[in-house]
Amino acid sequence: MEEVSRRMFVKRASLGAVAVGALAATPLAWAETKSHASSPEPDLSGISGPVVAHVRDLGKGLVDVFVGTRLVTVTDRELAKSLTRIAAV
Amino acid sequence: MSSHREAPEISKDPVADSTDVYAFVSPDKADTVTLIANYVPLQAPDGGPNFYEFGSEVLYEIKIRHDAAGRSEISYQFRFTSVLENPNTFLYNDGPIQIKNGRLDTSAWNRRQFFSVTRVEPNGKSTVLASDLACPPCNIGPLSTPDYAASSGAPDPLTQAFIYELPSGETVFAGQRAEGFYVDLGTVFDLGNLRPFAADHNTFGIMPVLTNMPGVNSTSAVNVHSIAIQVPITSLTIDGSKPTNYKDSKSVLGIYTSASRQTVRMIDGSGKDQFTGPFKQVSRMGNPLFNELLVPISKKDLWNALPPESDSSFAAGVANPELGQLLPVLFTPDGGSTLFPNLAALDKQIAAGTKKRDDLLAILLTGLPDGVAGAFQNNTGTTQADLLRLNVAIPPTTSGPSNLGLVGGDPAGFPNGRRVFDDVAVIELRAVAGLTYALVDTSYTVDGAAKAVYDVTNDPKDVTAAGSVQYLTSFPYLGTPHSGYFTPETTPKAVPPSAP
Repeated sequence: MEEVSRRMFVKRASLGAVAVGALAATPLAWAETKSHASSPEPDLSGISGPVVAHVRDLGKGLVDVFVGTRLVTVTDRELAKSLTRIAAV
Repeated sequence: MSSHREAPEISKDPVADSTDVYAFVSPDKADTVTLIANYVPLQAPDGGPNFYEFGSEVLYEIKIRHDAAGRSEISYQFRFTSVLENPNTFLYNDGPIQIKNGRLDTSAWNRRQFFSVTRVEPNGKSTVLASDLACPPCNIGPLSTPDYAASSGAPDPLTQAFIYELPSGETVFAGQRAEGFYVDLGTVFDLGNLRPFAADHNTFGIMPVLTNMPGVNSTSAVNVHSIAIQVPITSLTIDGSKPTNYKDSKSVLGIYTSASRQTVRMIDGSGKDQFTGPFKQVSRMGNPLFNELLVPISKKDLWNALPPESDSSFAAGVANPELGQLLPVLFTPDGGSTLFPNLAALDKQIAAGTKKRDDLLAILLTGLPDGVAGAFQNNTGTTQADLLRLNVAIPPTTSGPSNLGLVGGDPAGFPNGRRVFDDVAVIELRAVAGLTYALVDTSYTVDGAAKAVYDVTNDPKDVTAAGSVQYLTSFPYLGTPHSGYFTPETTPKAVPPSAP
């Protein structure tokens, strides 16, 4: 059970990193767009090693995504809720 | 200790624990500055089979500032890679690691480390100066590492084989050395019961008054890991000059070292942890003993994580040092009077808020302005920051240096940077005891004990810590690491007769 949850966590965290890539590229568009699907698909080939998400503030939807030597912070209440739901399983 | 295991969290992470930083104009190459950053404290030389090494996941840095706030800063970064040559042995080496016919035979050496050197300019431009430089082996013993030899002059042959001269002008070394910081730890942490002054110490009625005894260098047989780099002065000053006037503001460099780890560590059960995220500073060091002596234990790890320009928030511990309040109490012999009556009186004024230790604030956080201590200055303005401030216009003292540095009349020593043999424990002990307060308040009478107190050596011209340390006269200046085979030092030295 624990192993499954961890896999799901990392998978979701990867989605968070994707979303942030879109945020950095087009912040206004992101602010208006809540759906990940409507953002352009970024190039993932440069991502290697673990991608870890940390729900820093569930209420504010603050999610820190750690990848390589970078920290990307996303404000996304739905993503924060999704990750927390996984933790609650 | 100077900064060995000085904070609760970093004491559990020795490979990232900054223990000492040295910065001085090289006595044998006066157009260069030598910078040494030590990590991995209190190594028992026989501590195998996994002998000591740098952290492969740690970012080590030596930073040189042109102003206290860090608006202009050069950084030398060091990263290490560990290599296992033979995964099927439990040994560090399964044969001698020996120089043969002028070449080092590494075929029997299993666990090795290599490092890279990167220089980051004030504008952020980063240049890899060298990579895949090998670290020397630890000093295992005369069969494993026979080319290590005790020396008080030039480096031994094995050390010499791992000193690199970079095309960019720097000379660099990274590996095990003999600990250079000396202190009588056992007495310092037993309520300051310094052996040479035991008869004057408060025993709290617990035991009979002791007699005075010679001091002990507690670190005389332990090793440490050093990153040493020798840099042309012209590569460190803000304008590429080599200042010759000590009053020139460009002559003062503010130096500190740090260790950083990536934010996230995952223990995935494979035996090989994974790391991700940006690097965060977990240890730093400027002046010896700053975090150790002057920062309360609840804030020591926070201090380690902050940049030096945040140190105004720790200035209260400098302005009213806890040790300064304790000394008059501790050195009150049973039924007698304190050895520090004037310090006690000053302490009362400090407690009342009418005075503060402006001497310590200047020495440690802003640097001394010109004229306070004769023809000398290492001031970096009003921003309070714990930096080791080196005035590179002051030439090295090559004949009869004083281990007491500036307070011993030798402006080439601490707190003008720090040399390997500077007796920083005594300098700071005497300073806290009031010796330097007279620099800022000429009406203050220094207690006799503040001029006399010591722990290991009472000879200012002693550059051997009472015969317990062998420094080198050239790069990397810290001595040959102590041998595992000859640990403890009482080990019979039957073979070979010429071994250290």
